[in-house]
Amino acid sequence: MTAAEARASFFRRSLAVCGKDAAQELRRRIAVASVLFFAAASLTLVSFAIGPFGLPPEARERVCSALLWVLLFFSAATGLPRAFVREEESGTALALRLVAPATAVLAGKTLFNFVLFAAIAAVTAPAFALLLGWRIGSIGAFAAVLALGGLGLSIVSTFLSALVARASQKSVLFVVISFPLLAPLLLPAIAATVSASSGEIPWTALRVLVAYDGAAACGAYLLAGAAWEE
Amino acid sequence: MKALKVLLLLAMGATVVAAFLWPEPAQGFLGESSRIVFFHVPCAWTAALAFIVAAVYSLMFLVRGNPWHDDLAAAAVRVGLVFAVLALVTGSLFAKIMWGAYWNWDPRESSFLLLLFLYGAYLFLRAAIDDPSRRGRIAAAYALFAAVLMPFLFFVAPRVTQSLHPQTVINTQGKILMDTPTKTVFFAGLACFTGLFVWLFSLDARSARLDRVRASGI
Amino acid sequence: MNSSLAFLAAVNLVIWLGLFAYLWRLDRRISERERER
Repeated sequence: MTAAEARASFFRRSLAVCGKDAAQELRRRIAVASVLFFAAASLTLVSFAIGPFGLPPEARERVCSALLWVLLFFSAATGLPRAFVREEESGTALALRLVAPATAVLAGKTLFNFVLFAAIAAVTAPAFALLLGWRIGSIGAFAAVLALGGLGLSIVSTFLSALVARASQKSVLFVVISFPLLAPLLLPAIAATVSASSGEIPWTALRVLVAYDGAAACGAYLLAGAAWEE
Repeated sequence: MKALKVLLLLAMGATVVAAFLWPEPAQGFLGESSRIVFFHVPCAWTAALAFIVAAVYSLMFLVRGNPWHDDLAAAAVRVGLVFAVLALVTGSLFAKIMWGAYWNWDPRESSFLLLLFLYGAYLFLRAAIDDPSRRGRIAAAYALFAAVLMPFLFFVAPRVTQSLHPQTVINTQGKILMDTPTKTVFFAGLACFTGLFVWLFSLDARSARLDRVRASGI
Repeated sequence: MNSSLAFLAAVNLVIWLGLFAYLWRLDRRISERERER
């Protein structure tokens, strides 16, 4: 990092962290590959077990919404925690601590994780809908729910990833500590997905998702130092 | 201190006896089942209080860096976990009698179950980190982050669906719907359980401090 | 006064007394350890 970059604003540094992660990811492709493989495997199982005609029409929206979010939650849990774990494993954590403040590191990694989640969801959700014969009434509302839910998932996952980075049993620990915090996000997201797929726009649930994302972002911003600095 | 403990014992004994013998069973509940309110609500209240105490001491630990505050925060979570389990068990007994099943996914039940998961996750996180100062810092960050998201657990999730849970204390009218004997025993119970919590919590924290000092001494 | 309720109250009272006795002993032992340091 040059002196000019060191003086750069919070946003420029965050973008730099995000870009660094993206470059690393494009070189090794571990996170994308593991998440995609996990999503493909679970999609295959669900589709094989249920198929396009396996669900009674009145249960389809509810079951499909729940399964989609379960799939996305566990896919995210396989890929998103790599954000900080990778730095510790490759021994670059100390250098990163020196060149950027904790908030910028966290923001950059959250941004990268959100892009990762969006890419996964953009592949998984349409494939899921096609394979299960699930017609989505309001594509716009469906996309908004996925985006807001994914944003909350990325913020919380990235923050918790910083917490588990130096613990033992990282992957199990991550699922254990993220579930109780993500359940209040996933339950409204599932409810909103049900109404979006039946063609309504779920304003109340969308507001809850926006409020959750805002609260999680504030919490992560304030606690970034405690979570990441030594 | 000794006088306070004797007082707590006498008050708790009187409350327990009064809970069974003084108030009439409440209207609209089967048999004597309404009496569980004198034990169930104080447990739930204490569990929630424990989490607030844990969040406050976590914040103090992050600001001051005094390991005693970390001991206190962890002790609050451990004691809170016990009371959360008791609240869930007493609630399930009541649910079986009133609604016919131990577990109904009532919103209040669901959010309390998540609180239980949260306490468990906090202790899991502590167990997975070896270095004491990092353990305190990470656990404090988790407790405070959880405290930020707590409103969604408790106030948003229960609003999404209809609840069967009795609305005698927490309701939209902002009143406590109880007669005088019930109210007296109820608040005496809350006070006694809070006192019991403070005692248990300080014992746990002091024993954790002894362990920590011994571990660092060797 | 209902006798079965009185019985329940008595059982509860015994359990609480036991718990308090245990806590009392624990408190004393922790205090002793603290004084040793």
